[in-house]
Amino acid sequence: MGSTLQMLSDNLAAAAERVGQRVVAIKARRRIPSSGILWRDGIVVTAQHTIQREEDIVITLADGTTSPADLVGRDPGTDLAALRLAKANGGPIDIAPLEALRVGSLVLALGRPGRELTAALGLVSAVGDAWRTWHGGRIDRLIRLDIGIYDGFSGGPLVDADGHVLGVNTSTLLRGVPTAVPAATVDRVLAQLLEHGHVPTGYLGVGMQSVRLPEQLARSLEPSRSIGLMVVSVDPDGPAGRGGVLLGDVITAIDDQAVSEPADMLAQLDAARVGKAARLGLVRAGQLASVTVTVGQRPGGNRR
Amino acid sequence: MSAAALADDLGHIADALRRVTVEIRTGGRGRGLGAGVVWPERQGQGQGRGRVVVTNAHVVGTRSRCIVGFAGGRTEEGRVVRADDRRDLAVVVVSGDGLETAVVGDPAQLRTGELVLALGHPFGVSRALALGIVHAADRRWIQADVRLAPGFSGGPLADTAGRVVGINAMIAHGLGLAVPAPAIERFVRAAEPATEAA
Repeated sequence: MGSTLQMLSDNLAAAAERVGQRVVAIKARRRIPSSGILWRDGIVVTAQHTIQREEDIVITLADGTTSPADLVGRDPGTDLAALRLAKANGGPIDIAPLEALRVGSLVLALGRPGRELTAALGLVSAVGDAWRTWHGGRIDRLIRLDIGIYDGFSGGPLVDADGHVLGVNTSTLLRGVPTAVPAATVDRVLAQLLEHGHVPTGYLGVGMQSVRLPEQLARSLEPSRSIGLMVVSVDPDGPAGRGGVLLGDVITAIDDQAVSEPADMLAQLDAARVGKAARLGLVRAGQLASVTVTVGQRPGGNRR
Repeated sequence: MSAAALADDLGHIADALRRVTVEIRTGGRGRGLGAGVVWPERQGQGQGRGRVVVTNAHVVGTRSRCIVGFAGGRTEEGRVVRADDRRDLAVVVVSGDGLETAVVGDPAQLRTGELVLALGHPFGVSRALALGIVHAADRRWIQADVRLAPGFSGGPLADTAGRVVGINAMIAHGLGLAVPAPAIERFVRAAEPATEAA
């Protein structure tokens, strides 16, 4: 009796046990510890928002031993943080490729909000394209989960029934809806955190606000659009200030990519633009104009 | 692994659990329906001889008697012979004609992530099944990621072989907490002198 059910149950328990060896407890906040994953030798990945202090961080490994850890860096955009442990063991984690993400997959969310491993069972309820979080982070796939959020959910791994890691769970990127940052994004962000201590972000040094364009000008733009970004503050020593952007200019495009909300501009200002020239399309004193600026790097990285 | 085979397996276990799960009513105003499990008094007890029902103390409250509803619709008055609020356990004795008893499992063997099933009477729906997994290994309570509701109290939590590993007692932060079988065994044995005197 119960052979198919037992097989599924055994798979889930085996997946939890196998990946559970890599799930650690992180003491970097009050009350309960948060969860993290030993992603590769000596490196633990977790959810950035659960790290509430940057010193005196202690990690408890699956075998119960503890180790002090240093914060390598954090990226609020993707809610990821990396920690370095004195103890190095484990090798690279067994991750599933992005193509393996399927709606309807049974998944486990593992955590360790203390000494014991915890597990929750759920489904991948939706898989979407690459998206940008409201903090400006780029995530390679939207993974929406139908799963219960318990203590230690954020920072723990999302695991499929075969024991492959699909991503890092977090409850804060999708307004409280459980989601996971795909493993491919984790690898990309981790590489930047290890190199720079943060994820480099482009910087113009202006404050912007959406405004409606005069109808005649709106029609003369190609493609036509009715909203631009008025410059409401300029850092005179910033990249835009040095490039000649003036207070009251209305930015309509960066390198011919239309921008009508500050988030559009943030989306354009990724790490690849840092140090490169960009042409800003403007409306200045009622006339179309353009200014070329050299995109800088956001001071202090993404730390906040 | 086919969905139909999975449903068959779940159905078989649900049927077996339904035969050993009872409804418990105290008749009090505002009191809902609780569940209970027909529990073997001692190891190797012959099937069809059950007369001890285990439930939660909060299901029977302060009552000394309650109405026990068996699978198939028969009801009988049961006597509450022992109740402990701290452990949230109670033993109810019935006359016990031909009652099948639960197959008891060992919660120490449960692995985090393995599937578990709960049976209860959520909001008066008799003998409904819920599926979940073991959330954490804990000696005092079995923590299960399973969606329970009022009416599951006192009902069985079982593994995928249909063995009852505990009885569901409460919902905390969305998790189901069950009293583990060994604690129930000890509680039932401690109640035995009272049952012999009946």
